[in-house]
Amino acid sequence: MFDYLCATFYLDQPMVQNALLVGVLISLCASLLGVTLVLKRFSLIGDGLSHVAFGAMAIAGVLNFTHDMYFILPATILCAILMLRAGQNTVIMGDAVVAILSVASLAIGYLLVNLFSSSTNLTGDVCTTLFGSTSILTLKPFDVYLSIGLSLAVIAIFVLFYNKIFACTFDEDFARATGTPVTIYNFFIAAVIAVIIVLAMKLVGALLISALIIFPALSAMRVFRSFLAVTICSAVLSVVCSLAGLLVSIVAGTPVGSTIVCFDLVTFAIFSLVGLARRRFRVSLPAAAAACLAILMLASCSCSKSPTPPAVADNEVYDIDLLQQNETMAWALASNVTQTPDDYAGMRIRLAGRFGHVKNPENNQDMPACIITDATACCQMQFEFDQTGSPYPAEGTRIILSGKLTPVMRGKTKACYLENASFTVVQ
Amino acid sequence: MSLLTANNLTLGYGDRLLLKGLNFSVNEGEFLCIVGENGSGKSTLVRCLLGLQKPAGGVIQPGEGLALNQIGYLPQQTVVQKDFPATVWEIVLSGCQGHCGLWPFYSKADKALAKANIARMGLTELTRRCYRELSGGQQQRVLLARALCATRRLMLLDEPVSGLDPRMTAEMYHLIDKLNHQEKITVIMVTHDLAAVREYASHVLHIGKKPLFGTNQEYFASDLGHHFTTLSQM
Repeated sequence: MFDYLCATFYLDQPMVQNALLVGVLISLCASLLGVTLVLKRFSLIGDGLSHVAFGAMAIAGVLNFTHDMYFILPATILCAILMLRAGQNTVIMGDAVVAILSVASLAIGYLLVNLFSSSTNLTGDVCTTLFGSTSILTLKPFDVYLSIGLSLAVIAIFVLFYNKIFACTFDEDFARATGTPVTIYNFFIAAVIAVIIVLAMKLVGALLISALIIFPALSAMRVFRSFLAVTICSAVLSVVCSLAGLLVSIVAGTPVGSTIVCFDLVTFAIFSLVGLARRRFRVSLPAAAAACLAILMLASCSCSKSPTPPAVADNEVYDIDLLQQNETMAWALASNVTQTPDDYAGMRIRLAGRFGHVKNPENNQDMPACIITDATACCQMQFEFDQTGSPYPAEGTRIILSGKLTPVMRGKTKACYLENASFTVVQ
Repeated sequence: MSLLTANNLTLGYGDRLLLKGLNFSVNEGEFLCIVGENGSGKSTLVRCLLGLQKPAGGVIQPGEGLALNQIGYLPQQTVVQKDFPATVWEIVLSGCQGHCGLWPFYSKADKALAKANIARMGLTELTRRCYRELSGGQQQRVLLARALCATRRLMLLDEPVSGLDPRMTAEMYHLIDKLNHQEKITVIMVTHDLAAVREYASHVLHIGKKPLFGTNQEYFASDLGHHFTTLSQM
């Protein structure tokens, strides 16, 4: 059984293990404050803050920080405090401030990226940040440790301040009048939300974060009636949906973020029905548990139908063989390789893609390359090679390329070059 | 020495001045009713008394060892609370939050207090029920129980019977009167219900262009009181 699971879901691969661990922790954190945000009518603050985080990420990229988190986190926390503060003091300015801050940082961020980016694949970077694509599968060790640390901190803070968060959410005026320092706790909540948003960008991307925060809370509120039960239920739902979404996307080759959000959506629909039934027939816990099971069943069903990767006969042994992986895993592996080519230097690699040319910025010559694009064709990765002797195929022809990976400098960034390469044209 | 004294108070928000030179005081055990037309500044006064807002001028002076954050408060219902998923127990217990300080959890004494106040309001059977599924009158009793958890000395009730049917209204007034007479809790009540003012209040504060503060008899004997009563009976 375990072997079967390992084989189906690539559980033996460190990058999948990291993704599952970080995914569970992040979704747990995201759901915790969802209840408070929904009830305080701040559902869209997640959306606004993720745009801010995107802008901050762009600035960090332009300034070339090694660990961009050190800049993104404080910037997002600052904006979160500004937004929540505006929401309290004046009623009309509340959502206007959210709109101004989010749109402005999105615009500035994209502008800066366009003007100063050192990356060769601009649309790809933006696309990854906005939709997450497979970035959860390409976590670096620093990201993993940071995510685990911050998630645990968020969970600890939430447990310790649970009663105070409840008091401030249910009736701010009363809490304030009876001596609870509500303003401080609101700042605190804002800071925690900012941390969660920055973390969750890795999982689902900037545009889909709101779903991760509010869907589990809304689903739980359909069925349960005490604050504690709603909180626990939304945490469970969030983890179940993220796990199901991650596993399905790994196997079926769908984008991680949107798969998770779709599971959240289905859960919301099921829980709305359970809520309706509950008012009629007064059952709640068994029905909710059954709904969770149904979601997991759905996930495993879609997994079992997934296509197996095509086996290509070849006598050679490869260190990294992207043809043996399904689409999502191949994509994640390839982006790991292109992001840090030095880690893979000297390995024998085989991959499939389309033939094309990329410009070498140093001498302005066109280099032949195998180009891998994702489904939306906005992200792409290139593996340069050089094979004198046989004629090159037409641009866009599907080829299978193999060779020894050698990192080369192209402008300011490292690119991948395959030594002793050979390719075959796929019919 | 009175529990609460307002000295030459000026009320207003933004650039708008609502009223000037307001003086009144509340002594231990009294039942003060605040009346006045809509927009006369009742809500602003309530916010000032609770310390949620600074008065535009003058001072509110607590006395006899009362701190300003020891006022129990029965607010008007907010939109947020209409669909809030919380049980009666969770809400009443949250009234003890002020005693907790930085400590994250409620003590045994807090829980006992919450339980006693739930019983005092006749809600014991509803303890595990969801707040949003209760009737308007039951909801008000829950909020009153919560206010009792916060303090035992001074209660500020902001239109406690608005939206209740006549029977619930009578029940609510009966409860408040019991708290005032039997448990010696000082009550400040904002209301539009002059019949209740005449029956329960010991003192009346009329807010308007010419504010008036006096005992029940003084108020209803005054021209202003007389005028206002006839107006509200029309």
